Amino acid sequence: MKESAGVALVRVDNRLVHGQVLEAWLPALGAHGILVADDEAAGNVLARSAMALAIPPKVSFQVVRVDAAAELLKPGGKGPQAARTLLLLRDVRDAVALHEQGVPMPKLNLGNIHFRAGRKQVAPSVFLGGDELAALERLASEGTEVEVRAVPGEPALPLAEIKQRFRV
Amino acid sequence: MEATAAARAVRRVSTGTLARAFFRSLFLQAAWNPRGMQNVGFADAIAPALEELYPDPAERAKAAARHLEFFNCHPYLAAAILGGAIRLEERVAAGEAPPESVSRFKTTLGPPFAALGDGFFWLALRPVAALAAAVTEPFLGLGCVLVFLGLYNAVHLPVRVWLFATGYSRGEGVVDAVARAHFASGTPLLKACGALLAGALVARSLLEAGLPHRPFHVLLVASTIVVAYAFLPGLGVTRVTYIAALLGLALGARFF
Repeated sequence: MKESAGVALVRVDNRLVHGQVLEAWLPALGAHGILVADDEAAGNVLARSAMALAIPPKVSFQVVRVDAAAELLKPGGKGPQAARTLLLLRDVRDAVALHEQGVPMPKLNLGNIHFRAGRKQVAPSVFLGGDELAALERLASEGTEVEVRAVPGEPALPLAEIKQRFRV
Repeated sequence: MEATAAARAVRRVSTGTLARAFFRSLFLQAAWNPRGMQNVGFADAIAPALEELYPDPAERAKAAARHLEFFNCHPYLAAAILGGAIRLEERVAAGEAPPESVSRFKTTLGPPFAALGDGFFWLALRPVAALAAAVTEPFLGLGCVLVFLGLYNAVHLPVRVWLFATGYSRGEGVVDAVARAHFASGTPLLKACGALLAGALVARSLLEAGLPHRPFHVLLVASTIVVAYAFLPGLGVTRVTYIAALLGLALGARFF
């Protein structure tokens, strides 16, 4: 499966724009754009201006609703502003929504998913619920390579390993 | 006049309480945990303010519980969020704002402020202060440690106080204030200073290693960098420099 034009990586990260993303992932991917697809952030001026604060100069930055992101990233869509863009999502369900709306997703990185009642820890920074794991398995069966990796320097944890840890 | 009446109804916490909250914020990460990260530290820091704002124990418990939710930020930039959260709690206690507004404020500003703090303090100010101290080592000896502590704290402590005070006085407006402080654009400048200092330090170390009886070692190390980079460009400058530096160290230690 080919990646969506312009998207260097799709990452699920509850914290959206933060240090790991700016200081580690952007240089590692050679990316010069960030696209945040999140309904809450798109509708919140404070969130948008606070995130824009942290973005280094020369990095393009967009915050849009998940549906709008799907329109941009679908085959034939306008694509993101920068030719190599990191796509940030708050939750697994947003990745599923994008995929269902036809956005190609050869790879999905899980960075930070915080604890919430019903979620189990599978990695130091990733907690998953049973429904989320099932959704990830569906994505994987349709050709998405799912991995847990907080920063580029650490080894990627494949979905098989995540499932095993979840069952323990 | 109605607006002034409403503003007067908001109970303000005392300066002493603010000072205590700020002092406690210095220990923000003391109870760091993977589940809530800095939540316990934040709840502890804001506790003096909650005590003053909520005389009713049940109300106070509810307020404390919302500060035990997940929270993570850069430990210094968190001061701005703590200040802002106290301001918002004053409004919540007066019934002017919903309790969720405090949690939303914290979760919204935490990550972007963390990114600013990581870039500015961890990746720019700290290495620059350390390198500047290392450069003074030949003149000051162990005294260079004081140079590091002096430089670093002369920036970090006032910035933390300023962030806390601005957060408290401006509430959500703290984002604009921080934007005007140019953290994000100051970071690359500071990093460039760091690179300059690192260069000076390496040059001095190499010269030192080459003297007084082994004048060619400097030349050898320097030419290793140039030759390796010219013939093996795939290695990249960083690796070539490390290899040459290791060679220099091995020679300096008289391994051969």
